[in-house]
Amino acid sequence: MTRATRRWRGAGYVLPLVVFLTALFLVPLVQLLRLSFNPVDAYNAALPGFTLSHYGRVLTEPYFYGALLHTLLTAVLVAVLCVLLAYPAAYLLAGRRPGTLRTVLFVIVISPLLTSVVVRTYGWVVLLSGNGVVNRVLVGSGLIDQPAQLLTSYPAVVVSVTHVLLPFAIIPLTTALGGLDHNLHRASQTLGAGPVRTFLRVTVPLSLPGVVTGALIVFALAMGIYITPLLVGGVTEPLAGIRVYDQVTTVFDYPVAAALSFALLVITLLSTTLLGGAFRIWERRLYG
Amino acid sequence: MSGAGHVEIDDLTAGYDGARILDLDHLSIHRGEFLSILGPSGCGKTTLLNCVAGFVEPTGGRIVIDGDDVTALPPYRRGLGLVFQNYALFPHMTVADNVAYGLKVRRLGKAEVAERVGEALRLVNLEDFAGRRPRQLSGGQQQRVAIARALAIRPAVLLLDEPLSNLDAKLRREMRVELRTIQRRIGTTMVFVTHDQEEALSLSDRVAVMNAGRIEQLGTPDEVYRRPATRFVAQFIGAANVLEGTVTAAGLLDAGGILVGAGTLRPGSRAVVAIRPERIRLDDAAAPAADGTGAGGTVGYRAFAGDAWHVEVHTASGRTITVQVADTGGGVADPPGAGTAVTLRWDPSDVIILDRDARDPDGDRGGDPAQAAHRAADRDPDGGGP
Amino acid sequence: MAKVLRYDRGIRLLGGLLACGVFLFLLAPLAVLVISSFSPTTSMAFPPSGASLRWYGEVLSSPDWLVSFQLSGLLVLYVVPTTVVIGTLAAYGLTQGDFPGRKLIQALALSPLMVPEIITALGLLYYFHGVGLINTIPGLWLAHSLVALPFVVRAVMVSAAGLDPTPERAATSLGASRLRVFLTVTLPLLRPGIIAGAVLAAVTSLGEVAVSALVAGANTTTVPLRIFSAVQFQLDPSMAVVSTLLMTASVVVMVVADRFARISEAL
Repeated sequence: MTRATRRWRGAGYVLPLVVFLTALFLVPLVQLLRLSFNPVDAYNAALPGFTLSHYGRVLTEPYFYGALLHTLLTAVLVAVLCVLLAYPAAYLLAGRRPGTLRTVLFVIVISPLLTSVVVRTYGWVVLLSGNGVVNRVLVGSGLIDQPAQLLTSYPAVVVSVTHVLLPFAIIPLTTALGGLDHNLHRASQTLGAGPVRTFLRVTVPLSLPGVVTGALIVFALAMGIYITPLLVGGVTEPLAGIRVYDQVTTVFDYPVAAALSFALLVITLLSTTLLGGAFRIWERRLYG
Repeated sequence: MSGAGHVEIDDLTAGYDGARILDLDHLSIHRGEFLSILGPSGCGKTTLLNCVAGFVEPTGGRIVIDGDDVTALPPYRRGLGLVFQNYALFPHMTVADNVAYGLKVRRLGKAEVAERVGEALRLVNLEDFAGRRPRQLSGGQQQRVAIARALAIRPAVLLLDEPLSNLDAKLRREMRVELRTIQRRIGTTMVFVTHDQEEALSLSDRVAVMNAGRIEQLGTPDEVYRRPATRFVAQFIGAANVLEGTVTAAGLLDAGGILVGAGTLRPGSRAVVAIRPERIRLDDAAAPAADGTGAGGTVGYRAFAGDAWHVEVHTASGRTITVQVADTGGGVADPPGAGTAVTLRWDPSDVIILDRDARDPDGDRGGDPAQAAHRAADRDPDGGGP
Repeated sequence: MAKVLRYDRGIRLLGGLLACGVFLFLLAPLAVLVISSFSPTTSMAFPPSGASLRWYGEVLSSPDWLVSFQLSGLLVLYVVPTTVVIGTLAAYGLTQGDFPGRKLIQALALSPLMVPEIITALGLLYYFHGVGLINTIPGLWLAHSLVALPFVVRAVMVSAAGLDPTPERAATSLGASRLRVFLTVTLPLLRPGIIAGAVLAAVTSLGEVAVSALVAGANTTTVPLRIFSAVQFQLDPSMAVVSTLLMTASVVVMVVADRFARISEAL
C-alpha cells in the first residue's frame, strides 16, 4: 500500500454520509442563508437580489431581538437547572454497578428521549392544567385559593423545557463521574478529607468536563426548542423558535424567519464555541 | 493477645457469608519496621490492607493502632498514609497541591504547610517539580509524589499497595532502594503489599506470607526463605522441590525412589520435605552415593538464564526435579544436555523438613487440624506433590 | 469485595433523596399520562374517577389514529435501514480511517444535533418546497433520517472506537477479501453499537415533531403530529392513550435491545 492511498484509508466509508448530509443539511442551510438576504414583494414572496433589511428588522424590532435575548437567557437558565438536577441523578447512576436497578434507573433517565417530545409535553399540560395535579395540590394545601394559570406561564415553559432536556445533561455527566478513578476518592480520604470535602475538592472538579459538555448540549438544544414551549407556553411566548414558527405558519414571511433563524444560529454557535474554548483553555492550564 | 505492638490485628475476618476472603488470627506490626505482606493474587492481602485503611468493613475482629481501636473509624479519621498502585494523584492539582492536600485538611498554617510540602518533596528528590502537574511527570516521579503526599501528613503507618508494579524493571529496582532509604531515614512504619517475592525479601524487616486469607508464615526474609514453615511458603518463595514419602527403616525419606536423608525421622512415618533448586548438584550417573541418598534421572530440558542454568531432571519414578546451576563463566560447570543420565545430590543440611509426621496432627508444629487440611489442599498439580 | 464502610451514610441518604426527586421529576409527566389513559370520562382531571379501557377502544377503532399509526410504523421501517447503513459505514470510516478532513466530517456528522431544531426544520421546509417533497412520505422519510442519523453515528462510533484491529488482520491473513472481512468480522464486532443506533433511530423517528410539524401536511400526519395538533385544541384521554401506546412501544424496544447490547454505554 502506498503512502498516498494510505492517506485516504476509510474515506469511502464516509462517502454516503457526506452525500446525504450535503443534500439534506448543508444545501438547505445554504439556501436558507441566501433566502435571508433576498428582497421580498408585497406578499412576502422572495425576489432575486440582495438586502440586509431582514436582518435589520431582526436587530431593530423588539418583537425579534427581544425574543432572541429572552431565548438566550432562558437557554442559560435551563442549562444551569439541568446541570443542577442532573448531578445527583448522575452521581447515583454512576455509583451503581451494572444490574437490574441500574438498567431501570437508566431507562428512567432516557425515558424522556424514548417518548416523543409532544408526549412529554402533553404530560406537563395535563399536570399544569386548571384542574391538574399541581393546582389541586396547591389549592388543597391552602397555598392558593383558586387554581392558578400555570399552563401559559413562563415558569411552566422553563420547567417543561428543563424536563425535556435533562437527559442530555445526565448522560455526559454519568459518563464523566463513572470514569473517575475510585482510588482518587480513597486517596483523599486517607489524607484526612471527609466525604463532603472529598466531593467538593475531588469529585466536582474532576467531573467538570462532563458538566460543561452537558451544559453546552442543553444550551444549544434549548436555543432552538419550539414544540415544547409552544404547547406549554402558547404561541405568544417570546422565544425565537416560536417566533420563527409563527412567521412561517401564519405570516408566511420566510426571509425574516430565515434571518431570525441565522441570528439564533450565530448566537448559539458563538456562545458554545466561546464557552467550550474557554473551558478547554482553562482545562489545559489545570491539567498541564 | 495484643501486646505492645504498634499495630495489633486480632481475629480479623472479611468477606461474604461462606466465602471468607480474610481469616487472620493475629498480626502484630512493630513500630518502625518495614513489613511486607506477600502472596499470590486473591490471597487476601489487598483486603487486609483495605481493612487497615478503612475501605473494607471487616465482618469480625479488631484493628488497634497505638492502643486505639480503629476498626469502626472511617478512613479519614485513621491518620494512615496509603500509596496506590496507580498512584492516584489528583490530576487537577500541582505536585505541591497534591502534597499539601492532607495538610490543608488538617488546617495547618500556610507557612507550616509550605515547609512540610518542601520537606516531603526533598525527601523524594522532587523539590524542583513542585509546580508541575501529575500528567507532566514520569511514572517513577508520580510514584514518588504519591509517597511524599502520603508521608507529608506524618502517618502512623504508611500502607503501600503494590506501589512498584506499574514501573519497568530498572525503575522498580531503583525505587526499591529509594523506598528503603526513605524508610530508614524517617523511621515510619511501612506495610508493603506485593506479589513479588524478590521485592518482599529485599525490602523488608519481616515478611508475612499470605495464602487463602491466612498468614502462612511471618518472619525475617532469611527465615521464610531458609526455613519455610509450610509447603505453600516453600513453593511460593524460591519454587522449592517438595518431596513427600514414607521414612524407611534406615531413617531416610523415600519419595518415590528419591532417597532423602533429613536428620531424625521416625521410621514408618510419612514426611514432607523441600529442597531448593540451587541446593541440588548434578553428578555423573556412575558416581556412587556415599550415604545412599539422591536420585538418578535424565536431563529433560536445560535453559541458560544468564546468571544460572535452569535444568529439569526426570527421575525414574516420573517426578520432575528442578535444578539451578550457577554459571561459572568459563562453561566448566555447564549442565549436560537433554537426554543425559545424571545423579541428583544434596547435602542433608539443605533439606527443609516441612512436615515431620504428616499423619500425626500433634507433630511439633502445625497443631491446628484445619491448617493441616489447608496445607494438604494447596498441593498444586504441576510443581507440587509427587 | 466486602462491604464498604458506611461512614457517610447520612450524606449518601441526602444524595439519594435528591436523586430520587430528580427521577420522580423525570417520570411524573409520563406517569400522569399512563394513569389518565384509563380514565372512564372525557375529563382529564387527575386522578381519574375510575379505571376503564374506554379510550383505548375509541383510539383503536378510530380510522384517523389507525392511519397515523400505519404511517409512523412505515416511516420507522424506512428510516432505520437508511440511517443504520449510512451511519455504520460512516462511524467505521471515521474511527478506523485516516484521511484529510476526518475531524471536519465527524463534526458535520454530529452537527444536526447541535444546530437548533427550528433551523433544520425551516431549512428543510424551504428546500422541500422547491423539490416538491412537502406533505409526502419520502419527504418525511428523508427528514426523519436526517434527524436520526447523528444518533446512529454516535452510537456506532462508541463500538467502533473500541474495535480491536487484530481479528480483522487475522481474517485478512487467512485469505478473506476486504468485503468478506467487513461482513463477517467487522460488522459482528460492531453489533452492540448498531443495535443501539437502530433503537435510537426507531425511537427518534417515532417521536419526531419539530421538523415534521413544518414539512408534513394533511396527508402525512404521523402519530406525534396528530397528538401535537390535538393538544393545541382539546384535552381528552384519547391522547393519553396514544401517548401511552407510543411510550410502551419505545420502552419495550429499548429493554429488549438492552439485552443484546449495552445501549446504556452507547449514548
